[in-house]
Amino acid sequence: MANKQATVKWTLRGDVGIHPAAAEILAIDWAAENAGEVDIADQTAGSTVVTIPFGAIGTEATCFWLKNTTNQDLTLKVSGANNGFRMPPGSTIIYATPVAAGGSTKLTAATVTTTATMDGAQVVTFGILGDPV
Amino acid sequence: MSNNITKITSKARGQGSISQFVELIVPWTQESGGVIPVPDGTSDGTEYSIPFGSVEAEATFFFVKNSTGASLAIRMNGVATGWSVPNGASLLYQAPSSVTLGEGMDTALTQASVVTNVLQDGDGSVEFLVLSAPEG
Repeated sequence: MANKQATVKWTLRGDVGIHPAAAEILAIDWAAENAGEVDIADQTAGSTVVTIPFGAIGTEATCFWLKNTTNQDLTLKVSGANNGFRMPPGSTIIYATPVAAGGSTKLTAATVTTTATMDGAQVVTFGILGDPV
Repeated sequence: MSNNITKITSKARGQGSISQFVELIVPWTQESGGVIPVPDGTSDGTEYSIPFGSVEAEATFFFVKNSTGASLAIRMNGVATGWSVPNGASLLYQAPSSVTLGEGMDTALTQASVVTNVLQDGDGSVEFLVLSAPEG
């Protein structure tokens, strides 16, 4: 199976104009994908770990996109390690690499953890590309 | 100082079914951005702090791009995260609001650093941009 290619672009506009360090276009090779929403039920307890499904991506992610679409702060772990800070509602984290990381530090798993009892049924939105050949 | 308003657009498009579009309004009052040189011959395991400058309370936008030629590890708030950023790769975090402060590691983003994974071969650099939490 040949690689497919995605383009990841982010642009920061506003009072600082377009910052050169944040006007990025990256070409990402990938052969497997998974994307969607993960449900977090109403009244889910605080400190509940919710797995982000990598689906058919078995080797490593070359693009990882996650948005906290719940109504509470979440903590994120990637490849089993704490991310070191909370993600508030509406926040997004994006990782994109034009080359595979390989080795022991490749991105292979992610989870989010609730920080309080969930108020209403909520979802986390995600997109993952990976396993370039 | 009143808040500045910045619109951040992130897109992921290409072959396959994934087509993501994110647009956030990120208020901010302070910024710190630039390039950190990583000289030829820098030892494996060398840590470079990302300057937050006047961003003291909380980063609501954080961007780092690795242009060293080798992979880098990322530390957030002193924590060794699972992010390993290969050469040419970027990590971007953006938040439209502040976090609700917790305890221990469950806190706001206030510091970050990159760590070399190998002996640096040739001069390299790390680009970064940090924007602060909103006022009020």
